[in-house]
Amino acid sequence: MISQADGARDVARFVDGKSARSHIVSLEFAESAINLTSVDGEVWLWRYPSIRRLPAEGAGYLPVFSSLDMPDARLVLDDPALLAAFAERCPNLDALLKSNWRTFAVVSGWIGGAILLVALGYFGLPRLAASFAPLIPESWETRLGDRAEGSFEALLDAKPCLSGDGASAMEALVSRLSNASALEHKPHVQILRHAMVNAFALPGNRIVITTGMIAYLEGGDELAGILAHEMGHLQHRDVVTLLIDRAGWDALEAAIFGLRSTGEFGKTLLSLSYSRDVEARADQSAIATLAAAHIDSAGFEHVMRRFATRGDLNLSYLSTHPPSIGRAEAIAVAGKRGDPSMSPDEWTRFRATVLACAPAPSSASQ
Amino acid sequence: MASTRVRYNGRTGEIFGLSLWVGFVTLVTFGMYRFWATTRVRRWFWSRITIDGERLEYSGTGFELFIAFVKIAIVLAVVLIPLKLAKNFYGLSLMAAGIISFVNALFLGLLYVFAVYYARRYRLTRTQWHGIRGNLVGSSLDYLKLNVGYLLLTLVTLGVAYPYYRIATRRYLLDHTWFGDQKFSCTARARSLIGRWLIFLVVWLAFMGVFAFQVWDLERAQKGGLSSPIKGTGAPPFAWLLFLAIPVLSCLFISYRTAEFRVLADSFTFQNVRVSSGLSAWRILLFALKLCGAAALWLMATAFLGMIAMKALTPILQASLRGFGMAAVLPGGQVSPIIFLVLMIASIPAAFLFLLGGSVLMRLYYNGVLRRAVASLSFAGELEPDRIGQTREPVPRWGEGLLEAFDFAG
Repeated sequence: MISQADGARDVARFVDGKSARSHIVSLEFAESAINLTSVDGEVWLWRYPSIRRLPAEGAGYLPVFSSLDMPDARLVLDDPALLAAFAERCPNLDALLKSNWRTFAVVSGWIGGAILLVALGYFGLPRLAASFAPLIPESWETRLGDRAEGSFEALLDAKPCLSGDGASAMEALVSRLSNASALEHKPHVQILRHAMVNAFALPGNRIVITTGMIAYLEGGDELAGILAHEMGHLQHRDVVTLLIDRAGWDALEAAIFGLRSTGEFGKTLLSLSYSRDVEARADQSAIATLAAAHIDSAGFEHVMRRFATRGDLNLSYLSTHPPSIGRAEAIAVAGKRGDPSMSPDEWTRFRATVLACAPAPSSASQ
Repeated sequence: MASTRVRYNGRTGEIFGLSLWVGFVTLVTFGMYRFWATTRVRRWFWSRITIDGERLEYSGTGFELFIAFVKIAIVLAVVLIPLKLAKNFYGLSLMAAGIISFVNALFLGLLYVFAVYYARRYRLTRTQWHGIRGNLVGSSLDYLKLNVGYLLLTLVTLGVAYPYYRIATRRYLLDHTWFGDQKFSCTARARSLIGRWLIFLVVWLAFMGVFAFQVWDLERAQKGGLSSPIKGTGAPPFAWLLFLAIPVLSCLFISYRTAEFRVLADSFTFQNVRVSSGLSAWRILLFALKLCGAAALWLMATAFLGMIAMKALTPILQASLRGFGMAAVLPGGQVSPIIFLVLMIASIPAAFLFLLGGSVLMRLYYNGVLRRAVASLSFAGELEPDRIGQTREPVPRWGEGLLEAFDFAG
């Protein structure tokens, strides 16, 4: 290019973005803009703040400029003196180059933040679960319990089963234990017709015991131990904590708002498993409850020892309540002697009532 | 009469350095930089092409590619996750699983065709020369129909019609490409390619036949207890076949593809400019060989480095085990977890080098092929820039999404 002598006017190659036609333009640096004048007398005006240098990759480029006002127009300079004049007057000359790095940084920041949040939620939730559980309103818990019970009935194809003579013996025992425990209200105990040997604490102050469990038990003191243990779970709100912890918010939400089929929720509950610490805590509460009710804890210890030593497949109780000889030993140490929970006669009648309602005889009853 | 000149002046050293750097940043940022890396590489490639002395310009940005990627990721999630869930729930029935897999493949296939179309449109609208943008002005639906029709034809003819599929789709894209307000024209016909393609197909089938026979023979020998002629050598009898088949088929395929390029170039016109290409398959083949050599060297270097790292780590490993008072093999016969941890850490640099090498080689390959392809072109007639106005068709706001993920070179 020809650089004119007066320095204020120089020439460059220009396309206007409307046509591929090249123009040779003379440049005039006015106060707020560059005036580009072609040889045919056409004039374009580029405001200084609108002028951008196009990002280039690698060496060997002539610098190319564009203007925000004419995004497809291009101005090519090959005179270093002109380049310096541009750099001096245009405040945003390298904004495009900077904005590339900036968008990358901003996007990376957002994505990194999102990943961090998810990770925090994932790893932090179990720790938070325990502190969240007390915040769940009682009405929610009641609804959860309703759904859970219904869900078990649907999942296990089992029906509630408690009536007549046996019922009153059980009610009396539950009242005695509940008065002795730290629970505010008497829990609602349901016997479910199913061969599975299991007992659960459910949200909303409920306990479910299967007919299979009654068949497995060898006396009223054992039943008292199991009930006291489940009441321990209720007292510490272990089920809700576990639901938040293991299954996460979606299971809880599904349980509350009913987004899933009832069977799903039952499955989730069955898949939950208490930790050793939670079990030990429920055991401690159970021992305290039994002592306060003057019931002998030997039956509780005995049934725990039986759970720990018999690897019976039908003992589903084991999967939700990890057993160990250690737990039985702990009960033996801390437990108190006391009265029987019910007379042998009462127990026989209660068991007979329940078994009359039970499904086909299960192997666990032997 | 003067003719238009198109030149490519991309230097190997430059693209090597650039792809090494952006590849490094991409790996260090767990892939996040990929969109910006692609943009930088494209800007480099585009600017190394000059037409009548004026550089091509790539004016896309990494952010545009990123947004498009997010959009397509959402579409994929919305469609694929329910399909995946459906497969989990109904997958027990073979019929249902089959239908779900089919729907899945169909969706991905359709998406791929659309992705090719829209990726091309995006790149063309971000390609500027003298400030004028390219564009793809057609119908993605027509393009889809064309793909489906010719793919079915290829299927029905057991692969014989493949060149027709290739040329028809490529011709559609070229013939609907505009530069500013002027249209490209491509009238390519596949007929002249059939011979080359059939040679490839027949040789391929022959290899497959011999291969199938060898497998069948081996199975029969094992079942019947007959002594196989090569029993005891350890290598399967068809190993030599692969050593022969891969180079032979590669040569034949490259020869077909270069012929395809010539056919497309020779039938291409823009304004008064006619193009012809004398691209030789041998030149591409020699270059591919060179690149294979480089790849082998890189792999060997990676393996060597891995070995050195292991060697250097052994005393550290032993010391750390002693420090923890642990044996390498625990009493139960289990290997100490510390060993796994150290091995994992040691393998990171090797994996890093391997990935980096892959992306660099890919870009070197594009550079070499582009250089040879452009050098093979000759032009008759002259461009008339004064008659070219800016594109009047809409220009897409965001990038191309899906295809970017498969495309390393730009």
